[in-house]
Amino acid sequence: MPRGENDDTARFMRAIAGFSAAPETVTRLGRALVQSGGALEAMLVEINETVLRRTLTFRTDAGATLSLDVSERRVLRVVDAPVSEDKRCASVVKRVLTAEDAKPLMRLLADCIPPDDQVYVVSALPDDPATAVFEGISVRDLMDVKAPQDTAAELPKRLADMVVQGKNNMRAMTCYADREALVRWGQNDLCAAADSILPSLLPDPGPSVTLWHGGLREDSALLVISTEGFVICAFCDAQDVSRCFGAWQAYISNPNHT
Amino acid sequence: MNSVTIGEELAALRHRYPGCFVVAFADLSTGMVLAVSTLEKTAQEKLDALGRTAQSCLLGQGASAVAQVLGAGARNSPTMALQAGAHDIRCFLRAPAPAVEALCLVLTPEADLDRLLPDATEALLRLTVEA
Repeated sequence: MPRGENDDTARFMRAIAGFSAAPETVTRLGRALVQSGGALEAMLVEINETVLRRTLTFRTDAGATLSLDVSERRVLRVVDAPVSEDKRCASVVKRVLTAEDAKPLMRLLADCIPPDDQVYVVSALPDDPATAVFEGISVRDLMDVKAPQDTAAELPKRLADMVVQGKNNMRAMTCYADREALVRWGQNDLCAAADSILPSLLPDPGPSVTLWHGGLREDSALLVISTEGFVICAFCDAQDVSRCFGAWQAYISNPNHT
Repeated sequence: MNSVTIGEELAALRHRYPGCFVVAFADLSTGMVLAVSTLEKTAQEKLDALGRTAQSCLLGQGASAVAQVLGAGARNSPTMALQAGAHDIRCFLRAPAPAVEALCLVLTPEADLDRLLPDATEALLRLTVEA
C-alpha cells in the first residue's frame, strides 16, 4: 500500500475512533480505556475487541508506551516495548508470537504498564504485510495466564517489596502460595528447578529462611523462605549468600512483617 | 583425638564468636549429637532436636532434592545449610564424604557469618580428620 494512502487511512481510522468514542475519553494520548479491573484487564478487553488487523499503541500519562500488532482477537507481535531486564520478556519483542509466549507476554504487559495508571490506546493500520491469522496468542490464552502484577498484589506490601528488591540480587525467584506459583522471575532452568524441589520441602509452621549451599554449582545457593503462608524459592550467587540470607533473616525476625 | 579434645575444639570455636551460643558435633546417620559446647545449660531435648534438624537439612528428602538442584546429585547432599527463625540462626556444616559428621551452631541474628563460616568449616575438618 502506498505510504500516503496508508497515512490517510490511519488518520481516517483515528477520526472514526474519535467520533465513535465518548468525547471525554479521547485525549492527545489516545482513547482512555475504562479500567474497572486495572490496566492489564483493560488492555486485554481492547485486544479482545480488535478483529481487523491493527497496531494498538497503549500509553500512560507517565510516558509508558507499548505497541502490539493485533488481529482476530490475537496478539501477533510486540511491535515496540521498553527494554525489559527480564530476558524472557525481552525475547517476545519484535517477532511472531505463539501460544507458548503467553506468560512472558503477560509479564511484559504488566511490567510496562503499571496496574493503577490510566491507559490510552491509539489504533492504527499496521505498516507491514498481513500475518497469517493462526499465528499469535489469543486473548483467551492470555487470560488463562495469571498476571504477575495481579498476583504480586496478593502479597502483603512489605513482602512484595522484598521480592522486588530481591530481583536485584537473585538469579531466579519463584513465590508460591498453596504450592501455586504466583511470581516467577529469572533463569528458566532455575525456576523449573524450584518447582521440582517444592514438593520435597516440608512446610515450616513459623516464619523461617533456609539456605543451602554445596554441590557442583558451587557458585549458587538456594534460599527457601517461608512466611505469611507464602514460600519463596530463590537462587543467589554464592558470594551474596550472607547478604541475601541476612536480608531475609532481618525480614522474618521483624514482628511487624505482616 | 579423644572426646575432651573435641570438646575443647568446640568450646574454642564458640568462644571466638560472642554471638554463638551452641556448637555441637553430630552424627548425621543417626541425628545424634556426639559432643557439645554451650554458653548456658541446654536441655538434652533441645540438643536432640538440633541433631535431627541437622540430619533433615543435610540428609533428608528435601536435602536430596536440593542437592540435585545444586548439582551435587541425588546420592550426595548440600555441604551447608543455614536456617533462620524469628530469634536465632542455625548453621549446619557437613564434613566431606565419606565422613557423616556435621557441625551444628546456634547463633544470634547478629552473628558475623562471613567470619564464622570459614572458621567453622576448618574446625570441622580438623575434627573429622582426627576422629
